Amino acid sequence: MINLGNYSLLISFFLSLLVCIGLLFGIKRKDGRFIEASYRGAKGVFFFFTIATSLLIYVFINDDFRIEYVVSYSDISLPIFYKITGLWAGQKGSLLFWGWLLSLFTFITIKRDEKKVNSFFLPYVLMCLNLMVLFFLFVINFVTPPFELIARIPKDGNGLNPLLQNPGMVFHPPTLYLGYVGFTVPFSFAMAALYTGDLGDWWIKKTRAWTLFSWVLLTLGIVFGGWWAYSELGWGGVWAWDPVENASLMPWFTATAFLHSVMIQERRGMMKVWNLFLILLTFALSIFGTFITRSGIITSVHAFGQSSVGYVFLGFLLMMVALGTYLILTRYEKLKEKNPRIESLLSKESSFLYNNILFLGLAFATFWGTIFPLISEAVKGVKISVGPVFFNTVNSPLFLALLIVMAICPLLAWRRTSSKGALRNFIIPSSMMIASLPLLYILGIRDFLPILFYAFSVFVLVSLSREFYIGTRAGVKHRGENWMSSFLNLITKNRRRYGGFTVHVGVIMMVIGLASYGFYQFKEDFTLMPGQDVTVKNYQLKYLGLQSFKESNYSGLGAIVDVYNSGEFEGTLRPEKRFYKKQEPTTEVAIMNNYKEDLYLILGGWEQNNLITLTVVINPFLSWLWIGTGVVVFGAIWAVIPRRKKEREVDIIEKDILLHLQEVEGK
Amino acid sequence: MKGKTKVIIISLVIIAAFLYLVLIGMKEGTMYYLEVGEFINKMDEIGQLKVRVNGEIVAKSLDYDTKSLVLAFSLKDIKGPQVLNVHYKGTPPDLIEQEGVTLVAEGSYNRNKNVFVAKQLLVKCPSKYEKKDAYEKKDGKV
Repeated sequence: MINLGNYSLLISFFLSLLVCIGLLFGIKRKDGRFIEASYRGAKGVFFFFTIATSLLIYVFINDDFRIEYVVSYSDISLPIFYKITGLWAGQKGSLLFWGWLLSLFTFITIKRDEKKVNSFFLPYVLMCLNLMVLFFLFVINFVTPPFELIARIPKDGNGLNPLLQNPGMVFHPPTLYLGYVGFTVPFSFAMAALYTGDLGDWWIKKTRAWTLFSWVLLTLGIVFGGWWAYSELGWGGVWAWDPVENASLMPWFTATAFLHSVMIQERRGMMKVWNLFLILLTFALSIFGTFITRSGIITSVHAFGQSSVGYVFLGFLLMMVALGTYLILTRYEKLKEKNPRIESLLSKESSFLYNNILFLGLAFATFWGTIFPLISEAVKGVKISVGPVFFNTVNSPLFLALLIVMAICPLLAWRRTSSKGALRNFIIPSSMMIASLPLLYILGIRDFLPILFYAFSVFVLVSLSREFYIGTRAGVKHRGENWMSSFLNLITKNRRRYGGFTVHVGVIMMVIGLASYGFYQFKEDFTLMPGQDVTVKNYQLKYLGLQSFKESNYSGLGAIVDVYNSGEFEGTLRPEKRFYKKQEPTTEVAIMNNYKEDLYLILGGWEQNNLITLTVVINPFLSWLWIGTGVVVFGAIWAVIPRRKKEREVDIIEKDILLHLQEVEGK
Repeated sequence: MKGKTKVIIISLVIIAAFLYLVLIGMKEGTMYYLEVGEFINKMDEIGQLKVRVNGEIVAKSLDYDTKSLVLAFSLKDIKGPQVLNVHYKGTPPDLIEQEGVTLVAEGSYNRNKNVFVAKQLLVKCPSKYEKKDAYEKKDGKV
């Protein structure tokens, strides 16, 4: 079994190497046979990779403690659900999983286009993808072999860190990896476009679905991470600006910028270089994240531990960036050709430009704050720590500015907006926004930044609703439909536009959740005797006593707390301390949430006489963050799912490419 | 003025405002990150400045007072013998009672009481990836 795993990985590696050589020959000699063979080879890589990955899951399920990696991350009593997650619980397995995803995506990319006559780009795309697969296979085979044996076989494994035994941990890594890996596909298409010198927007059109899909998964991965931290780590927050967290956020910023700026290239043919740069940056930052989390070079509370693998990734990163930069520079003249210019201060194009500057600002500030300790140590010899204060000071105004751009952008027209048109579009949302100010003031929101966040959220929501309303009304007026069918027609016929608007509605919900949590979190500690109660804001908490219990892989102690909201009984919460075998007690928080706020209880400690310390946290509107994420995902999927007319549309793209090709060859 | 020039001016304004924000953020959001030994050596220089101190918890020294909710413990330099007494008001974080756990305390030194008053404690997540192996090898278990 173990040998089969090792051999499959080795075969994959050499096969991938052959694919590389085959492609080089095929491209150089313009020989289709070599290229055909490479496609088959890449599918073979995927096949053997899949065997190895399945085997690793298999040995986890079977408690095969001959394997060092299984011993480190599992034990007999672990529920099977978490045994499977052992695949990505540690370094070796997660790299295997990552590599496997990459080869899966390579497989899908080939499958989609290999039979088409005009897939001139496919060999180049495959070249890039295969290079990355090869890199991962190299690391997996020679640096971090997952099937490595242990010297002395123990009776039982060391078990999975209890903090990782949480549903959030099941979804967080795979979604994040899917997002990271997903962006390598548009990246490879971009590199193919650069290499062939065929720099139209065909690569953007071909990869539109990939880009959105990866963006959704990256978003989900980050939010799952926050959710996991919130429900498991027991400090009452979702985000701490720790380097490891930032590592996942930086590519998200540049990816979001990319998502927006490709629309301008599609629409107006502008920003060609910029888009290539953004996708290169997104790719580079996702690898950079891997480097800082795996090398232990930056002090993080997550302490991934130091290992040499990080530097291997750094080398790979530098190589890919150098390659990308070289390609962009050598084709710069071609890229500059026929680029239309921005014509007006107030236009969709210019607002997309501001959006991009802001997202890049966020990415840069986050990057700077993350690596500054390193720079400072190298240059001045002093270690400096950059705290959340830095990130909040810099990023909050940028988020606010983005919110403002988000409010204004949909109201502007392409090219230029007449001041009269702009005024007409602005009047309702801005008056609603102004009307919301006194209301917010009465509700107790009196600080400068929060009030702006909420007020502009109102602006965006009103102007988005207005878009839906105007579109629907047009259907009613011109085609005589009733309101409901007109609305449905509107959103199904313009999926991209209204899916995008739905994403923005979701983002506003997330903004409300995050702003409320960030500005108005309440947190206090109490000591309580059994039978004692305490009033916290509108809650009365009655502590009844301690209760001990036992589960298959841990035992625990829980404090029974009855919760009354404004005098009415709401339910019973049981914050716990859990004792996993051989481990220290860990905190298990208890959360009660409604649309208005989360009540979050942490059992701090207890004494012999059942006296407890209870930390009470109230996070207003935090559930809006989770629901908003759901809306974002729904909107993005809505925008990208194929319509019934899909075939035709794809044909049009293909025809475009074909025509374009003939044109190129004709020259 | 042409549209393009205006757009460039606005973009430059945004970038300038951004750089200003970074400067402000750097001034307020950064602090020294020191080992216990370094902190004790530079105590006079640092004074009341907010800093982060990294060290190893002395397990025996842990004392949590449930009345005042103050957690008191000593933080030992990871490589040297120096020890710093720390007070933290709040719930003790998880996993601190294990031998050899390292922790970062954020706060400032109180001269009158001769203790480091921590506003925040950051316990390093024990073993996500390779650290656990290192830990075992040290113990000679494997």
